Amino acid sequence: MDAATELTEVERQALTVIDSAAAAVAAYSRDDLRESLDRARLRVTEPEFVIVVAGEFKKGKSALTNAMVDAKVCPVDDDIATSVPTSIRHGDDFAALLISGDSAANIPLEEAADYIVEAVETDVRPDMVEITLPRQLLADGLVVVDTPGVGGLDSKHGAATLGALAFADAVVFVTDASQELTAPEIEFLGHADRLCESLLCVVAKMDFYPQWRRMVEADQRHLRDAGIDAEVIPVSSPIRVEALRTGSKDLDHESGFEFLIEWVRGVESERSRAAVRDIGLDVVEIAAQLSAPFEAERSVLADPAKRVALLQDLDEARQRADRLKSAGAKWRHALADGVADLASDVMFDLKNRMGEVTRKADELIDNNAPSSIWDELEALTERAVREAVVANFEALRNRTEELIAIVDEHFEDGASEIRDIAANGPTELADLELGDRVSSSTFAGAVGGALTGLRGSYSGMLMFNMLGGMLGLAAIAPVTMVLGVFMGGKAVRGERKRQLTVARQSARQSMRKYVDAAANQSTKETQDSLKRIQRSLRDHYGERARRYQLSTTAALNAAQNALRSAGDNAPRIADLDAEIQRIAALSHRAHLLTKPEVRQ
Amino acid sequence: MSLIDSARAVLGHAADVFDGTPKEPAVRAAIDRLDGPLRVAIAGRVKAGKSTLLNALVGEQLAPTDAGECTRVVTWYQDGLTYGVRVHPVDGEPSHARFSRDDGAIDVDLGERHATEIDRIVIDWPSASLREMTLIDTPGIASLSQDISERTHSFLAPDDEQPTEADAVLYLLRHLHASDVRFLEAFHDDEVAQATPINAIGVLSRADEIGVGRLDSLESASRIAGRLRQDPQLRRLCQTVIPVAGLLGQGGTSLTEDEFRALAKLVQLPDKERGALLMSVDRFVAENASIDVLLPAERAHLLSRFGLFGIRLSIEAIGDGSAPTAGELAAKLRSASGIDQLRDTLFSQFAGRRDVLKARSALLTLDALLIDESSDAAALLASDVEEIQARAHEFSEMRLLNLIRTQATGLRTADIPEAERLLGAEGSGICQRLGFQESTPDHELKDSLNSAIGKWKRRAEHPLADRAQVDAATVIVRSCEGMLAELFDRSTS
Repeated sequence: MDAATELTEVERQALTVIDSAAAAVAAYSRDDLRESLDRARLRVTEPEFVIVVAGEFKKGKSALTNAMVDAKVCPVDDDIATSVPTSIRHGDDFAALLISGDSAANIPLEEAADYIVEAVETDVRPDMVEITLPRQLLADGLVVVDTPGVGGLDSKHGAATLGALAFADAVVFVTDASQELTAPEIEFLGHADRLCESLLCVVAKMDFYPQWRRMVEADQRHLRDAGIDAEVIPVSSPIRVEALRTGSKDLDHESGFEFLIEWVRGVESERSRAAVRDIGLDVVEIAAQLSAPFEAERSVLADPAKRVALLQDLDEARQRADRLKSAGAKWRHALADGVADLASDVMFDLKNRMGEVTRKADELIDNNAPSSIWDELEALTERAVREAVVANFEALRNRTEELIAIVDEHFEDGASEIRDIAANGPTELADLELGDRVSSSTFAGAVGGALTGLRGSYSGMLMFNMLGGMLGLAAIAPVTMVLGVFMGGKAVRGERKRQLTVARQSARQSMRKYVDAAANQSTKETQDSLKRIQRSLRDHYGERARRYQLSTTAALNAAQNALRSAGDNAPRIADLDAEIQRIAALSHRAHLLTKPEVRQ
Repeated sequence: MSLIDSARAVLGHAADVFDGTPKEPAVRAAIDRLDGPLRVAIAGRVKAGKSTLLNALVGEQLAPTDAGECTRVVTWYQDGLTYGVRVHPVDGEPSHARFSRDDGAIDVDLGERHATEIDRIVIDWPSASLREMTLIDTPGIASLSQDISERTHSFLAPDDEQPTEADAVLYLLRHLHASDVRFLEAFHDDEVAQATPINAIGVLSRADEIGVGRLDSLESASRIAGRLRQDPQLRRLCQTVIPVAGLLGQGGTSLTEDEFRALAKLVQLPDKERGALLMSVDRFVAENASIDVLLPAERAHLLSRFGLFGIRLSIEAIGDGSAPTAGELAAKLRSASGIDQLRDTLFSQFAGRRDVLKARSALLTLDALLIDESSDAAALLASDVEEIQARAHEFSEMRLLNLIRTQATGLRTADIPEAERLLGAEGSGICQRLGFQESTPDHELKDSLNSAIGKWKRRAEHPLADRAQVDAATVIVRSCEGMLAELFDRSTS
């Protein structure tokens, strides 16, 4: 990707800092620190910023996506709807890729539409279609994902789309000016607001509905009333298309897309600033680790009187670092206990929700004739189950964040002691108030890793959609009614009553079976996700503990070596000062990246 | 004697029997209903376009159509000698109410009364359209999830014992995805209702919005309606699905010469300017120095009357010479709107069935009145009612039609279209039932009937046929025999 030309000033600074840090890490043979620098570099050179375009059926999502990226890639039809998510990213050529599970297959771009819309019969329906386009808009790593219409939470796609939102950087929710936001739309927006940091509500088709201004105002009011923090922007895709065709800036402004893209850019640069800040914090911490042995050595050489106390401190720090790495570390206990608690709470939550679904469906069955409510029973149960799964997913996500906070606190307790002890010596790094900052950097890393673990749950929701509906009962009711009507009304009431009981029983059984299957599936996905989350947190903090171990050991060794040295220490101290200065300079530059005023 | 005549006769007796009793008004109402026009109720979700459709059917702006939610009380629009509005409270006697016309639409002054205390509003309005059918506008249905659990569905099939208020119900559907629960929400309006698939028509409303104003929107709409017609869920709920662009129909019905001239002026504009003007609603009504043929206010008027789609369609029709006069443009708009097709369907499919439905309603009403009567006269009436009900083959046909749509009858899928047609689903005339052109010679009809009778008799006598299949085939054979007898009567008289 030739994105390097698109870097901002700050990002370039971040890259130089990473380069210097990488040189230092190589020079001091600290290969253990290499990997995190490589990851940091990727965040700058190959950023990815995912926007999900979501909304109800037939609101103009695909038209909006096309108008945004200036290409007719998402099929737009009056009747046939999008049924496969389509992700559009930058590439040197026009290309399309079908992704199903772990496999991917290249196809000609013009055939992509056949796989995306629902009406075309294909042997395999891919999980996703990925399209690459040579577009300036996408060059900075922007990925736009067009999704099937959600139809509120009650449609099959609703839950899956919501799951996807949890991993998007931003959500563009599309409604249109034909009417005000409906209750299911508001409900969806509420979930989106909780799951994703940046949310925008777009009112499409403002070129067609004379009352669009009133609708925008009404939508703003609805969002405010629901406590959802999202801007409302009216747009017109046809005007944008015309603007692109004629190259008219005025038309682009009129189409509303100017604002839309400005918003996207705004969120994008916010994310990129956050990335640069994280990198700064990372390098500050790496510098501290690099500096520790030199400082230890220097202290021993410079102040022979304190060497015994200093060696004791360093030894103490090393021991604590060992403990932090060991199986008995407090953060490890907190993680194990936390995961166990979380698992039982989330399962309990799911069980309660499913119980409630069953209870409501039972009530419906008891109070109505199965034949007359079959459609509703099926639809409402499926909907309620999906809602339960989504709510449960939200609970899992929120609780995961709490868990990370707790584990982080325990880890930092141990780590800050080590830093305090190690920082007893004369060190310039102490001025940087390292503690808090490093902590927040670690935390961000941990959250990112753990949320990736949640992805399992999300794919679980996709699986769950394939569970299908409560099939197999629809045939029960009719026979009853045929008999009833032909036998002539009133005489058969007794028989009907008996048949009604039978029909109710079957309805209940079918409904329970469905709810149980959904609950089992969901439980399994949750457990798998928790395993992944646990592993990712264990690896993350384990790796950090190992760094402390290596740094403190290196510091202790350096100090001990210094003890054995004889003769004039002055040249060595001067060398060490120079090294320490160099690292401090690196740390200082990295620290600048974390300051908000280093904006462009 | 035809079914409706028998019903009229027995109701006449009943009127004598109940003369001067508290039950007399109910009997009189049932008699009036027998002779009155077709009653068509319009149901659907909030904002589905019910009032716009009503205005299009009447051909006059009567029901208020605001972008907000307007219809809050069930409102009957019926033909009258003079203009008048009566308010029927839930408790108490109906009373006249004052009303004003706001930009055409009728605004009823309810005074102190709250909407919930009112059962219905009846508007008498001299109108040729209303002479043919009484229209009932209903408030939008609340969301499905709220009322479904509260409502207890009647277990008995609705056509079995309850009289209905409306002869036909138009359900306005929004264009939604089939997997959407709210897709069927339109059919959950019990207030008007008691609709069965044989007296309900699905209307794909706001058809002009489907393609967001593109000229081929209506083709898309009819394609979608065609697909919906085949949808198994919808087949159980309504007879057919017709796309209607209400605003276009309303505009076409009441197009004025001034409006036509204004539209024609737009045709005169250079292509580029017109294209820019029609690009968006904002541009269309904006002050624009280069467009001096119409004032912004005049353009705004056109927009509110026809919508952007109607304007584009009119410009196209005037431009290509297919609508050189106001009359021709009006006809064009009307036919594009689907309103005529809807009206045709109502009259061809429902006019014949209407008598059966009305007779049934009348008999059910009478039946209910007789339940707690013990006099000899009442007993005699009751046995008359029972005899008519038992004898009327029309009721069996209707029940079977309903069954075919709602339940499993065991009929072969390939047989169903023919069965429905023979039972009168597409109209009750012999030619309609046999699927022939009108004025087909009798001997051809006879041949066709004989072969149909042979076929359905075989179905009925098939050794593996179950009870439901036998019953269904038997009803169809009787329908054919009835037609044969009618042909015979016709040739001898």
